[in-house]
Amino acid sequence: MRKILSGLLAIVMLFSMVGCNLGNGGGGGITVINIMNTGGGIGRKWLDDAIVRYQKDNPNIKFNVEHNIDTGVGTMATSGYSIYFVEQGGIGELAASGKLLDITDILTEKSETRDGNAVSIVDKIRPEAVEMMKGYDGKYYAVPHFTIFSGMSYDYDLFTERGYFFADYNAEVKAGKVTNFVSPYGNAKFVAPGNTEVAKSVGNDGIAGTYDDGLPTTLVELCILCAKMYASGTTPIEHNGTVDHYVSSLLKGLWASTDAGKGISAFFDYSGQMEVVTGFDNTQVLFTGATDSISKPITEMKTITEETGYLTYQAVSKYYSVAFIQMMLDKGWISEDYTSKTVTPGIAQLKFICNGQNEGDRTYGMLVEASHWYNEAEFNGSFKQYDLLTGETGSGAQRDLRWMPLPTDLDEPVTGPENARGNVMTQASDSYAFINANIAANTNLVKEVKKFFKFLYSDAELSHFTGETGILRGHINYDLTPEDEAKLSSFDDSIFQMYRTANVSLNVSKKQSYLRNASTLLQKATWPTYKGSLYHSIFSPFSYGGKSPEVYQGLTVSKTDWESTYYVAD
Amino acid sequence: MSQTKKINKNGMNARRRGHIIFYAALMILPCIQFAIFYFGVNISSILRAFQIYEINYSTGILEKFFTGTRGYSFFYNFKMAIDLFSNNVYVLKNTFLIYFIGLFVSQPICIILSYYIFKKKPLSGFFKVMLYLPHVISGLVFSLLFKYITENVYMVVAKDIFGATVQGILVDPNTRLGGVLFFNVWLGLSGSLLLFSGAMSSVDESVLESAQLDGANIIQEFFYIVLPGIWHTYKQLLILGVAGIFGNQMSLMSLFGIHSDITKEMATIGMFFYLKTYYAGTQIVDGVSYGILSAFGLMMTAIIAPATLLIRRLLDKYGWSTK
Repeated sequence: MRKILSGLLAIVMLFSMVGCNLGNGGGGGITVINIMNTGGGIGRKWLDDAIVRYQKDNPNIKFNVEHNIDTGVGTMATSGYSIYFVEQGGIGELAASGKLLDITDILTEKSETRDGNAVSIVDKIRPEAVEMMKGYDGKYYAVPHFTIFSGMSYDYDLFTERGYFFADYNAEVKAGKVTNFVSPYGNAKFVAPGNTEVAKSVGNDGIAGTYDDGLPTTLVELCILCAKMYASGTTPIEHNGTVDHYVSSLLKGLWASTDAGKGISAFFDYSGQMEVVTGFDNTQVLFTGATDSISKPITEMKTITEETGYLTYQAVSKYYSVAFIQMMLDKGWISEDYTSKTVTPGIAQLKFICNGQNEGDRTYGMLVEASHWYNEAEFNGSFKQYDLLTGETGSGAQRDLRWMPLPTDLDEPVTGPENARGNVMTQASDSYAFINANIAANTNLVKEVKKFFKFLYSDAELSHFTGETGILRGHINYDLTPEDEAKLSSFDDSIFQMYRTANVSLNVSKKQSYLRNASTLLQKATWPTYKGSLYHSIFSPFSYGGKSPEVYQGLTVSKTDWESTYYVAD
Repeated sequence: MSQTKKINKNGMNARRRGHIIFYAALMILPCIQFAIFYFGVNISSILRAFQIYEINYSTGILEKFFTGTRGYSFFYNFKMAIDLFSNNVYVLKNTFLIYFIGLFVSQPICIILSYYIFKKKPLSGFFKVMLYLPHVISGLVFSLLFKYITENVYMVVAKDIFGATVQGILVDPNTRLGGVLFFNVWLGLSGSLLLFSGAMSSVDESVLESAQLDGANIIQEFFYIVLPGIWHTYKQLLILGVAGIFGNQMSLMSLFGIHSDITKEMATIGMFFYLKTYYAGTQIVDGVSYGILSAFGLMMTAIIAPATLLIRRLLDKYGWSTK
């Protein structure tokens, strides 16, 4: 009996050996490729489908895909994963620490044809994004993965139903057609509830009949809109509570848009002219009706260079963004869910989708989340839950939710093509794909992994990726096939339409000061320091009684810090 | 039939040799694991406290070198660790708060409840289940349950029964700390409950009966027989409590998440250290290097190790003796 028991114990011990090797490399003619795919927004179906397509011509390649929010990049040197798809940047540091495989060969190989010309993967990348893919030794180590944007989404159905679209500025107020709304921030004309015939305002692009019609083109108009929603019983803005730093999406979105993209552009390329805050006039408020503590900034136009890069933190548009967030908190325009410890992003998305379907439930006009939330909600079955509430299969997929073009000025509305400013989109978090350097000794595996990597970045697969996820690869120039474009939801389509014509700001730079400090510099722009403490969420300093001018100051970098820590002279 | 023992030149017979080989085969893996994951990790940590990582932007390589070279002082990482701590000295407050709550609230309650259960008083079965529940169900599930009870349920009850509009206990800054401490006390009860219950079960029944016959009441029994009887177990918990003082994270991560500003604000030294380690080596703006964290860890060990030994000595000297 004892021998049997001892034998069984010994066998059990052997199970612990399983953890030694994931079977990377395979054997017997089979190559196994292990992939770590970032969990969250974009899901894994795109990768599973790509693998199926790849295996048709490569049946001897097997794949193991791990889908996890925590991709474990810090310990990748000893992991069994060959390919990583991650939601982070810092390629230079990762390459310097020897974690990433040099993939210059596959990225520069001209293996495809476009319009009769041979092209490589690098040829497809936007020129301004190329340096971000390299290590400090000048070699290529990563490829941009997905591009998600900062800002808000809005409920087009609700806007139509409750009359939240701005009417054409020349329209006359008439019952059932155009209403007038009086607010402390100014008056505005809105399309009457349920009316789909009255002309909306032209939007930032100044052209009637486009995707941005009826939406606020100034921060003041956005405040009027929020006030109108609030007065009519709609909670203007929904935000989750368990991950409160998602408000950075709104902070960055408005920072980028409210000066029509000048500030955010200068932040990355350290050039051009920008309106910079140099002080505050505490005797005046930012705009009529604003909270008293939101002082009017004193500004100057300044020329930006890499040496004066600290000035990019003082963009007036960032102050406007901070001011709007304070207004949102002071006026109760944000749902109290933002403080809840039980309202997760998924629950906030579900509430926004269902939007008052249950009796007694709140309705929300806008949702603060990065643009991949829609795909995440689909993955979580939130639209199917809407179907259950309405009792109609497919009704969730019919919900018209769209990406919201944000205001492009403080208070001067766009009235036509003559003063159009265009829309601005700004990238939220970074995302890259790379190969683990720890497979370097396994030449067969390296060969197969690189081959699969090239496949994923072929024109066909780039299109399939967007068709499947609805998410763009904004750093890469590529077209969607008609089949893939037909798969896009109305939400994804709203992003795509905007992307085609907007001023798109990506988290990319060619300047060494940015390249060597990318993540830190971006965080310092959206993570406020208040009374000596650094916070991840801008809600925190406001909750401690901070006001816009001082919260805004906490998002800046001093000249001394810039010169001593971040600036890299040529 | 006679059996011949085969004895080798070392005086070892085949059977004994077989036993040794089997034992060695069984132990070799745990020994290797111990060598790597205890000695190896700790030696690596100690070495790292004297190492610096810097990127050479000319070669694009992350270089590692020892302190005391390249213009860095030998104790550079230690100095930086002291600076780090002095800029975040607020973490001491909740570190000691949770420790003393555990010492003067959790453990006494646990001992009393264990005694209540030991004496099989009314509803002792119910208490046993409720108090042991946090240990049985997943920590994530338990913390989720707690959050829903202290927010959704609490708000509905306050509104419907008392007509009051309130924020969730963990949401309201005025009640948040109390909520976190209550959660930790509840969580702490389950582990100790098992230990104390086991220790009380080992108290000699005949001594208890004898005391009862002599007219001792339940309180006298507790103080003169049971408590001295479980002293050895209690002493171990007191010593472990001191040893673990810098490791206690106050369940902040399961209640608020790693990215929440609340986690950072309410951090104990343990949570602070964990957060810094999580971000270490990344480009997170308030991240620090592994070298500084290793130095920080060494300094914490230098404080807590002698403190633990001192406490053990004092408890051995002045504590109860069962002799």
